[in-house]
Amino acid sequence: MEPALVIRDLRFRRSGGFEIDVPSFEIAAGDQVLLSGPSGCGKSTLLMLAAGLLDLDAGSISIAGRPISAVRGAARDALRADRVGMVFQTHHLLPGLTARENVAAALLFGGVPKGRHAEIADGLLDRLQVEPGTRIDRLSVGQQQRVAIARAVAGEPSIVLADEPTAALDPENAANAVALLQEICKERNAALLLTSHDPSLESAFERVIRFSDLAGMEEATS
Amino acid sequence: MTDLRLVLKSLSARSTSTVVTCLLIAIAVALLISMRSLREAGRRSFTRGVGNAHLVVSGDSSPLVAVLNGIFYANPPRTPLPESKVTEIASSMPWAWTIPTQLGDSFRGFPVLGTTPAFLDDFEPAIGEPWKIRRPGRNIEGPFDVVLGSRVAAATGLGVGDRLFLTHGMGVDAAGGEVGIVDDPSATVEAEGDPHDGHDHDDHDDHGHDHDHGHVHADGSPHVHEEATFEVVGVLEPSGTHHDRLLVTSIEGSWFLHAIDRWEAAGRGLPETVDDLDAEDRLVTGMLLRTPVRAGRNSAAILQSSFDRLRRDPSITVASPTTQVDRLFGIVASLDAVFIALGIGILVSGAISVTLVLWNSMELRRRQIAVLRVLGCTRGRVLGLVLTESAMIGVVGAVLGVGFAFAGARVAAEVLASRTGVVILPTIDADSSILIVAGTVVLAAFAGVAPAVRAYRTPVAEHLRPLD
Repeated sequence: MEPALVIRDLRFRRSGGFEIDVPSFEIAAGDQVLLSGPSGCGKSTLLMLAAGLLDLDAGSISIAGRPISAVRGAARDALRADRVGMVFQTHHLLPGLTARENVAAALLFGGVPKGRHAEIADGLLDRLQVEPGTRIDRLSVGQQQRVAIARAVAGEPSIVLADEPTAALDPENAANAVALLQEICKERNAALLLTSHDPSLESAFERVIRFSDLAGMEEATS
Repeated sequence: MTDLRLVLKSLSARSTSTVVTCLLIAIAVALLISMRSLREAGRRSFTRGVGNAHLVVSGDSSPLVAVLNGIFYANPPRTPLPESKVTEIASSMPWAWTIPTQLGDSFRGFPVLGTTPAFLDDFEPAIGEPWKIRRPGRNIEGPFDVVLGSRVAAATGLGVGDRLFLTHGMGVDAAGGEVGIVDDPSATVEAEGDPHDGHDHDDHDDHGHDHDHGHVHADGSPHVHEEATFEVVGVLEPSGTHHDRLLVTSIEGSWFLHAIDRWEAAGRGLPETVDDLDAEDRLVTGMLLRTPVRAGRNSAAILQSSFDRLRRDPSITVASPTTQVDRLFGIVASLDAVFIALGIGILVSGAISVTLVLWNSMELRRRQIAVLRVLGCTRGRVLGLVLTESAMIGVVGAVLGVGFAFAGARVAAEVLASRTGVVILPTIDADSSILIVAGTVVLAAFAGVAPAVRAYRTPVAEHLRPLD
């Protein structure tokens, strides 16, 4: 099975001296990795690069064997829709829509037939104990987080990129949310790359990588 | 979940600005459509109201005025024709019919037409739709018989057997029903009491000869002719034309009323019967003519030659009503252009406001757009979503506008009918309406281009912060 994520010779430069270099990094299919590091170190940027939302200056990134950095425009968007799920600190749910519609929105741009959208969304939300017909602004923060998780995995992605998903939660809820995310990803055989600046989450992951170590990683160590 | 649902959600999230922009566009569309609709309906109505008359003859100064006065009863012509001229014209050619008309009196603001029974027998208020007299009822026979148009009957409540006095002059508000410029307004109403049960006319068998209290107004201002009591002998079925505002009476009766004024002013005493009238009393204000045509047709080659021959007579003005109606609408067309320009102006303002509203909303929606991009929405699809949104505003505005136009045209038609008697049947012209609606949708979509491009260019990563 193809690795969920493969990064080779990644170089990314921005004005002001911000730079990311990742010689080599891989996440195997279904594997779960915590990427830790202080705020502002570039963890989120790396996830954006992996999702094809930013362009590399050099190198390559592949998702489930498909080179997301080499394709452009609609082809890259389609690859993201099919293969990548994302979870954010502030959930980024679509306001005014129900939980079901938010989850189904993730399927709108992928290859899942329209007739199955509501069924998939309802199944996931049931599993996560969220009432599908409730508007997201009427849900608690914890429930919104679960809707965001459901949305991330609805399209059967190869990898879920979770960017500081627990930063807005207290330690107990943070631990629960991470556990739920790990559980759901495992159930659906999706790899998980979760970034956090919170060292307390490290115990929940078998594989923990410090962002600062990525630059020194060679192919052999991945 | 569909793209359309996303668009509708976005529109409803900004419901106030959406409603205001839709209304702005609706008003513009309504203005454009109703202008077209009313003009076309007006032209149709005027053309229909010409009925089966081919020519109008009068002493008016211009053919257009002759038609407005002779067919549409705008004003009594100032220069009447002698009865001898009527006889001369009638016998000059083989007409299908000739109908003399005498205007100058009114009843509660409704025009009184002195004419011959041929007006109700031969003249058709709309081609192929002859007059129908409600039963019981009959055509005018005696000099003081009167037949009411349907609108007069409806407005006054008068019916067969009721009696009434006519007012000399036309200067009374039709809608008001009050005659404010006569000495005693109540005197204009029927002779006996309530019009709804005014059938006890036993003591008025000699109607038409009561000269006891005539008011002669030397200045010619309108006044009530109480010298002659007219009796309603028939009520007409509605014809759907302005002719429904007429009271049709005998031309001799009209002559008689006018003779009273003239004789009194000349110190001659008063005429006793219509037989006393001399040639100076027997004047007509107009004449309706129809040339012979084959069955089922409304025109004949003879019409042009008849027209040309009559035109050689310098003492009369001859006019083809349909030609003059076309001319009238040619004049009105320039006014239309002003309203159409106004409508287009409002429409463009509406489009600009669509641009502004969407442009400003993009500032707030960039994070949502970024989220859609994360979910796999292409830039092109984002562009399409915003364009669909602006086009939707156009669709809703245009559809509302068609509704407004229809309702507005109906109200305008009702007001026009009650104020002027011009009956127009506003219909929304499908072809031009579709064109206007389609144009509006395209314009609204075009108004969304700049905001859509702004959405297209949304830098995704930037709008998903704050993260680290």
